[in-house]
Amino acid sequence: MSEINTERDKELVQKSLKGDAKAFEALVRHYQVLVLTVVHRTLQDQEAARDITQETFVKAFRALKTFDGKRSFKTWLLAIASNTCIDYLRARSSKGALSLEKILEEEPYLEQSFATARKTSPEEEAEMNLFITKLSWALSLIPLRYRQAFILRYQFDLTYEEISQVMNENENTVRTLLHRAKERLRKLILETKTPFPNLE
Amino acid sequence: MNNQSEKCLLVQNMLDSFSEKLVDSRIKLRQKEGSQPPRLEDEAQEHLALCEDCLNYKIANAALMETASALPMLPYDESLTLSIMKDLAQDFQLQSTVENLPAPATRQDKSIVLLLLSFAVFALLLPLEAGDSPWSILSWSLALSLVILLKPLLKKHAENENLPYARV
Repeated sequence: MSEINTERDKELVQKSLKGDAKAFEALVRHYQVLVLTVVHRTLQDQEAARDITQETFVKAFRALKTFDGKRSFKTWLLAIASNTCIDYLRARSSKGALSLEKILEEEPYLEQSFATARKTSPEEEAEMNLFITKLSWALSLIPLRYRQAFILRYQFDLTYEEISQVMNENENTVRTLLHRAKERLRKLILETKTPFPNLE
Repeated sequence: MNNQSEKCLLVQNMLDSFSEKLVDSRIKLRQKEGSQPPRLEDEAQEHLALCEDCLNYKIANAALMETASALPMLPYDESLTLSIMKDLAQDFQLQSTVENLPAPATRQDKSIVLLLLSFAVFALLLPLEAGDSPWSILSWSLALSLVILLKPLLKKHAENENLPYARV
């Protein structure tokens, strides 16, 4: 994030704290797509992503006094979104069969998705040739934390430091998560037997 | 492990680190901090010319990075913004009400004003009944100064003993 954005965000936060609704609305407008997309990619559920995005901004406003400006507003907001996702998963796991640990660290959807993938028709297979679709599909199969780290780093260009703040992990853990995410994605994509587009 | 696969592992590590440097340089470019584009080591480039597996690894890595940065974003949703702001409307209303209220005097401010007022009344009334008023005023002033000086000590003690300070 550029210095200009950081300064502008701090100014908008100060105005919001003084009760300026328009200033907070500007922050919501600026960061809505980012939060919505990250949450959607993380949870793979568009409806939940919308609810969690809403909750994230409401929580952010109510905790605005605690934003000290030591890190960027973007990182602070994404950390709230990440915690809200975990709360959502925790609530869901207490209702369902899967434990939160399993959802975060393992691949609960893998077996089922592979079974579905093998049954796809040739037409659907042809659609899968779009590499972007393949990556989205592969992302849905890897563990949530790998997916989250991968998206933050390679789709949204966050630094290791920023990702560690968002995910509340140290930088070495982030490196490991990213390494494993790439390893699994490569493996998944290669196993579908569609050649990589040559980007050289 | 043979020499070839050891070499492959080494080159693949170099390729991983190279792709991370590419992302870092993209971030720096976006932040308008000048950055030299990273360069893959000669050793790795020589190996890539000979090893198809590593070349495929490099192509796969590059494709993964490029595609990730091109993944679609969800569209902006005005109704979501409105819904968030609606949720927060009460908070803003409450906040502006608090902002518009005159700043309430703190408990300490009040007690100082009360102290000064009572002393002023006492000083005004005292000459009416006694001839030794200057001495009385002085002794009362000394007593009050002593209380003010001791107050922080009493406060500290109350905090340590977990007593309500107002009672002390």
